[in-house]
Amino acid sequence: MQSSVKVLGKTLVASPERRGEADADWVVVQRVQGGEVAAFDQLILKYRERLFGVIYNMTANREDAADLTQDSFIKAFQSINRFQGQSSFFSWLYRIAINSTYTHLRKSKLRSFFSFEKMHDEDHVSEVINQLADSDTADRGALLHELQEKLNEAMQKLSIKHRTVVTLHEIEGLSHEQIAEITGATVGTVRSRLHYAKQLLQSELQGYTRL
Amino acid sequence: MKSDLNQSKVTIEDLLKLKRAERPPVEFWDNFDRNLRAKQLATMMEPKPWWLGLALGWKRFTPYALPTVGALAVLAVVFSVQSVGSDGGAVLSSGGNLRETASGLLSSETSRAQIGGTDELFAMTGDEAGKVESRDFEGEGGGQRTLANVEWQGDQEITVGDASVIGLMEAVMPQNLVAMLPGAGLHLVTDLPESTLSPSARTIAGNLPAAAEWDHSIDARLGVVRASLGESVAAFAGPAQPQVLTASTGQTSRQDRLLAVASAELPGNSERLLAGTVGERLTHRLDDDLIPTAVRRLGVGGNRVSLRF
Repeated sequence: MQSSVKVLGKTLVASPERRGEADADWVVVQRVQGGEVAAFDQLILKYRERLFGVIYNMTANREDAADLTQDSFIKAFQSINRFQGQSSFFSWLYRIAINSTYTHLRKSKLRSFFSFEKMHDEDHVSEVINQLADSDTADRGALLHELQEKLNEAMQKLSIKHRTVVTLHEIEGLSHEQIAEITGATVGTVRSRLHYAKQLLQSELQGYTRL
Repeated sequence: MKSDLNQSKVTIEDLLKLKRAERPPVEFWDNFDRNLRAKQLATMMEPKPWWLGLALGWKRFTPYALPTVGALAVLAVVFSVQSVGSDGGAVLSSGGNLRETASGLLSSETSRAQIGGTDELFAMTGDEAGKVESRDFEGEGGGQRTLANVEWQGDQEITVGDASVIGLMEAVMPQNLVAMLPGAGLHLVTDLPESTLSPSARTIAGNLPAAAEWDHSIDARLGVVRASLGESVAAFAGPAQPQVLTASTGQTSRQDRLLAVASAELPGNSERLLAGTVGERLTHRLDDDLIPTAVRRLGVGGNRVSLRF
């Protein structure tokens, strides 16, 4: 899955592939617009994990993320006739999801209930853990758990907008341009937010990272 | 735990990439799909609120509505400025009974002009019981459209709509009748230099020669229109209220117009102009504040301008 994520990241960043993906989505969208409602399932299957990932990393709550992901798909389905293909379906869907998440986070500002997914022990995770831990460290699981907790805490200390940029760029692997399109900010603003957010995260996680 | 860490090799980006590994188990997606399907069905079954259609309709209409509303607003402002501030505008005396005079004019049979055989180029109809007087024009398509509405909500409130009609009126109406309409240019097309005409009046003026070539009797009939409308104005103006409405070209000042009125009252005796009742009336009329204070309320709504005297 690690490799597929990397492939996914490349797909999102590389523009010719991205264009091909957008074209393929547009064909499916047109079928849905033409009345073939079942074709929307293809789009759900294609994007549900990515969308869930973004929302989950912003809310740090599995149930909220699931609800918001479902709501985003419902909203997209309801408004699909108004989608004119001026942007990619992917950007449009992400925009809906981000806006829904903003609204949710603003409403539940005072509530801080986090529920985390299990971190799968994949190649990249093992690599990082190996670098962080001494070779004789027996309890890798404990270190992983601690790291996950610290990471999420640090992420939740960021503002919603900074968290969004970090999530989309560092975790989902979107380009600055794509993030600008989704969030409605300029590329410069996206870069600035990313820089500022990483500085904050660096200070929060300084015990684990090098400068 | 920190003492166990080798801090020299891991960056913040590496740590954030760890978040990619946080994923729900496979069975989570079964439940997710089931819930999503249920929500989809519920949404499709749910009756849409009545206002949703309106909101969506307005959203679609908005890009086209805004320029239109803006243009109408500009038109209304220009129109109102013309009505209130223009020296070439109609002089409406606050002392006169506008409802009576205008209703008399609008309901008069003599105000019906016939031009071009059976085609009714310009007609005015009066509604004695109602509050709306309308002027209709038969266009090329044969259908009639309302060119202007004059509404009387009190004895002295006048509302004029569709300023585009003014150009047409300027072309076919005698100037003292055009003066009835606030904001009218008050010029006869043929009597003024082209630069002073409104675009619509210029178009009509340009078309008149062509129409005359096609129909040689048009000049004569226009003359009849002017004469008949002129009679009707003379009839409504009457001896009792000789100065209710006056009009002149855009170039003449208000003082000139008033002098002309006074001269008409006292023909051949301009020396006595400023004496007696006429002098008093003139003095009163020459007060520059008269027109602004005579207009008690100015209202703009859509493409309509409302003046309360």
